[in-house]
Amino acid sequence: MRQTWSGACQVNNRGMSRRKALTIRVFAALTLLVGWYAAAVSTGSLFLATPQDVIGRLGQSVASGEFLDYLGPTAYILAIGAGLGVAVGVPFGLLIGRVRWLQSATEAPINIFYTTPLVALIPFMLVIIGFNNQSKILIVFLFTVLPVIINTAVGVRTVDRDLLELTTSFCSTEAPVWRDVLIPASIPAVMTGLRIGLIHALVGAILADFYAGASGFGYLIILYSNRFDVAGALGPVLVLAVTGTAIAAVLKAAQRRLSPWQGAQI
Amino acid sequence: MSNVSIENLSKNYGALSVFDQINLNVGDNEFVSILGPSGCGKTTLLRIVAGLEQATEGRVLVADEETHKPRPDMTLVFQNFRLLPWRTVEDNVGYGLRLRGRSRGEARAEAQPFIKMVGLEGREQKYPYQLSGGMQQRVGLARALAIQPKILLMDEPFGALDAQTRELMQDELLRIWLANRKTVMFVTHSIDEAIVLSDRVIIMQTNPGRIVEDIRIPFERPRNSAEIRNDPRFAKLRAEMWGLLRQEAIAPDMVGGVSGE
Repeated sequence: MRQTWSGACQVNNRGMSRRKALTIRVFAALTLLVGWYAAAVSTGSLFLATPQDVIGRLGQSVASGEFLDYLGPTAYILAIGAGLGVAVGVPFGLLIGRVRWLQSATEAPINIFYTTPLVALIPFMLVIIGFNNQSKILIVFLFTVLPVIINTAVGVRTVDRDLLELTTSFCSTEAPVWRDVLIPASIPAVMTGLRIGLIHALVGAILADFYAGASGFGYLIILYSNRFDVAGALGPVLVLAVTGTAIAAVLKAAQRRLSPWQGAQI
Repeated sequence: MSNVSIENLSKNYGALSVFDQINLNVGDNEFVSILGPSGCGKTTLLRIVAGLEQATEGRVLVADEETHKPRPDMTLVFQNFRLLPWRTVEDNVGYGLRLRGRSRGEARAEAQPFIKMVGLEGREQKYPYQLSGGMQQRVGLARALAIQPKILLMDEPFGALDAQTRELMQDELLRIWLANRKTVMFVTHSIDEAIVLSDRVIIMQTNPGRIVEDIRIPFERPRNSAEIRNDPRFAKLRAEMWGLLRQEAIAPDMVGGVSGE
């Protein structure tokens, strides 16, 4: 009966909660905005700017061209670093999820890297490789690749054994096992890996700018902060928050599109 | 040739003996059920024939060839269906065909008569989660039949279905098998099911698993399950088998399966 797991309860839940969920989301966002406003008003503009100040200042920054000048390099680093992270992480994760000895060989190093706060390594990488784009790309790459590998490998490793046995009983060779079972079964886990990986990439890129200085979106935040321009500094932060949320939403939608059999599940 | 010979087959996991010295011949296009309480090793026996497990001793001959792995001319229908959740009905039925080199389109076209055979026309585009349990097992059956195996192994295929669906599926299987005869080994713990479907019923007991009786079922084909159930010979056969299985009831949980009919 395993295949019926996305059965009636789930469907009912969803039917009921769609509108309710939307209401709750809107309400939560409004609460956040009101809370921000209240906090800004009560602490004073030296510490926290109001939402309208931040957006106004963001408009000026964009209009002056300053915003895009600083966004450009970081977007470039993010695209290359995260792109490489995904391009390496997904195939590698698929492989170590399937090949037992590869898993044994890589488990310890991956866990060591994953549990070490990568932030702590940033200064070393900058010193060793240099205060340039290459080291920033490496930093973003490392932030992305680990969660992608780990989640993908878990996805492959937790594939239903019964389905793997089915492929054996039909005399399937290895390549069709990937096509028929392993890849479709691990799509949800891969998408989770991408979601976490890309959010980490964003964090990595900003941190790299913080440490390396002199250019990039992260540096823009530092620049404005050093001028005590609170509203200015919060503009890029707001943009980052929106970007992160958008990435998560897009990937969730993609997952729904890619795995229609999960129906009501997601 | 599509006969199955099981010779002196034993299986144990370490000190635990699942079954010991099993000998059984299933002839060409014969329908044989293996009936026994939980724990008698009937499923393990079938899985060894299917090549999914290895025997500790003895051998299995399929079409007179010693067999240790799954064969392309033999297929297994599982109790828990094992459909691919990400494939539609037609692609699940065509699964084995694609593995045998057909393109997606060819597999779909070739699957169509089997989808029709199990009564799932019009549901080709559905995903398994959109089907009832009975329909899911129809897909499982069609998937097995689509590769046109010479030997069909069935491991309590209707065990997960409710009583009414189960009887409907038995009639379907009778009809399909009659139109398209092949060698069938059918594992079940339901006495009625074994009698209705089979040419022969093999009775197993536990501790260690062994064959205690080999009973020929006299009903001529085509059969109608309702008529068979009302036949006085049915009651007699049923009583005889129940007697053999009841000996196991000293440990009542061991016959748990029988009450599930």
